[in-house]
Amino acid sequence: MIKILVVDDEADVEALITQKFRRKIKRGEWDLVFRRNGEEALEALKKDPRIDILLSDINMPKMDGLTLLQKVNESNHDLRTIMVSAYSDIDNIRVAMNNGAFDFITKPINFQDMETTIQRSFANLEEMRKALRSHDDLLVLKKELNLAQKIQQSLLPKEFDLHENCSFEGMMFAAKEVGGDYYDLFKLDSERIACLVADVSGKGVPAALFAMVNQTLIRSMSSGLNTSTGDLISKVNAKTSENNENCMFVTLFYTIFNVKTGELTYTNAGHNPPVLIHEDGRTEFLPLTGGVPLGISEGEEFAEKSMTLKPGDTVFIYTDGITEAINPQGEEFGDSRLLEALSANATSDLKTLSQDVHQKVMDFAQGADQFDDLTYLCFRYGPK
Amino acid sequence: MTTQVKIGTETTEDGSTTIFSLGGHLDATMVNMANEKIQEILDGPSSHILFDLKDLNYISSAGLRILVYAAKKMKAKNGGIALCSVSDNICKVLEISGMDKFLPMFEDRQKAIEAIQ
Repeated sequence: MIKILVVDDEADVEALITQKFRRKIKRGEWDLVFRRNGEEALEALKKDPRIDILLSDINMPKMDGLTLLQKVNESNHDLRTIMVSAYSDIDNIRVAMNNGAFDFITKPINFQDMETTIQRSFANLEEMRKALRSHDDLLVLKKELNLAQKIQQSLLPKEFDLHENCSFEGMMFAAKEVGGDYYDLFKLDSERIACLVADVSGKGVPAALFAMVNQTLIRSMSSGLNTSTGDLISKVNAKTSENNENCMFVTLFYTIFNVKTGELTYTNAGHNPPVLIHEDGRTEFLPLTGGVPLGISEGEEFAEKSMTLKPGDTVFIYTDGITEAINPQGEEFGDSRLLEALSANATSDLKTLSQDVHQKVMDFAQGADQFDDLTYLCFRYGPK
Repeated sequence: MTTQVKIGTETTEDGSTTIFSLGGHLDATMVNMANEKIQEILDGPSSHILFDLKDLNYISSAGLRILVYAAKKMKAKNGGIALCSVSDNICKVLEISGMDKFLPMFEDRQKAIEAIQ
């Protein structure tokens, strides 16, 4: 229903309009309210904020139509104003249009034109209201995403002082508000620490949800883990593959690091190879274990590899958002730039190392939009 | 830098295989387009999809997901998918991610179609 306030000082206007549009009124399409001057109209608007259309004469006693228009503008009332005046009054009509009137009709009133103008003005108002609602919905969504981002970041371990014998560092930068990357770091017992980096296919909310389930699954299945990393990842994969209709998957590098002995056992599930950085600056990719990403092949068995770190050795695990970061020319950051940056930081503390690599990736990208999340996790064997 | 993805489909004479050419930069934003097309093929009569990746210069994990998705769905139709003309770059991505295990690769269309049929 369109609620219309008609303001005119001529006594017969009400009777005439009510008569002409009696069917619309009867069918409940239009609800008409009549007032005789600007002051009365303002009172009516105050009482009923649901009025959609203000149809106002210009020349009226007490308060004229132009003043009324100005007052309505000041009130932020959500409506469309249509001015009514004689053709000879074109100057005033122009003033009204310049002051925010939506349209005008001329006297003597052509009722067909009046109907069209009212319907058109109302359609415009509805359009605007719809846009405003979408805008409000978007703002709510944006707020929720910001909250989700905080929750996601809070699930990433920030405590890196886990043992006097070793240092750890990790960070994650999502391309959107929330991301499909994560790292995790937790003690299995007094000597062994589980470290992992995971990258879910896709980005945004779907990837973030999948990542969160994956992180929870791994944490809970790791507790009391005495078996191999290969067995653990095989079990996690079986769970992840169940009911995975959309074929989302997660690549992951999972390692158990013994802080006393420097021994490292790891399993790779389709993830890019971590880098081993020696104290003298030499770098090498860790040999992979040939695993596929989790979630796509239910009965998959995962292998594992072991090695022993020397004091001063650093392991750097990351996601492909780093090596695949692109600059405005479309070139990738690539392996060689990464190895160079890591080699240069072979003896820097791990926070410096991670920040320096990240800075180099950002400098390389020169502000080009990054499409992927960036995640870093590293640890070094040997006293700080 | 090109962020456009080029998509084209054609069907072999006997109608059993749809050849799906994917070119350009298949990142998360472009995947939806490819996804819709794949859905159409899945609902159609073909039992095999051959992805011709000759002009594909980048594939994101979201892009890999739709290949795996297509592989699973076609398998359920007693068919399958194959890739051909895969560049070294993309090949490396498939190998590192272990996806090459699920996605048979062939040198060119001819060899792929012979193997499928």
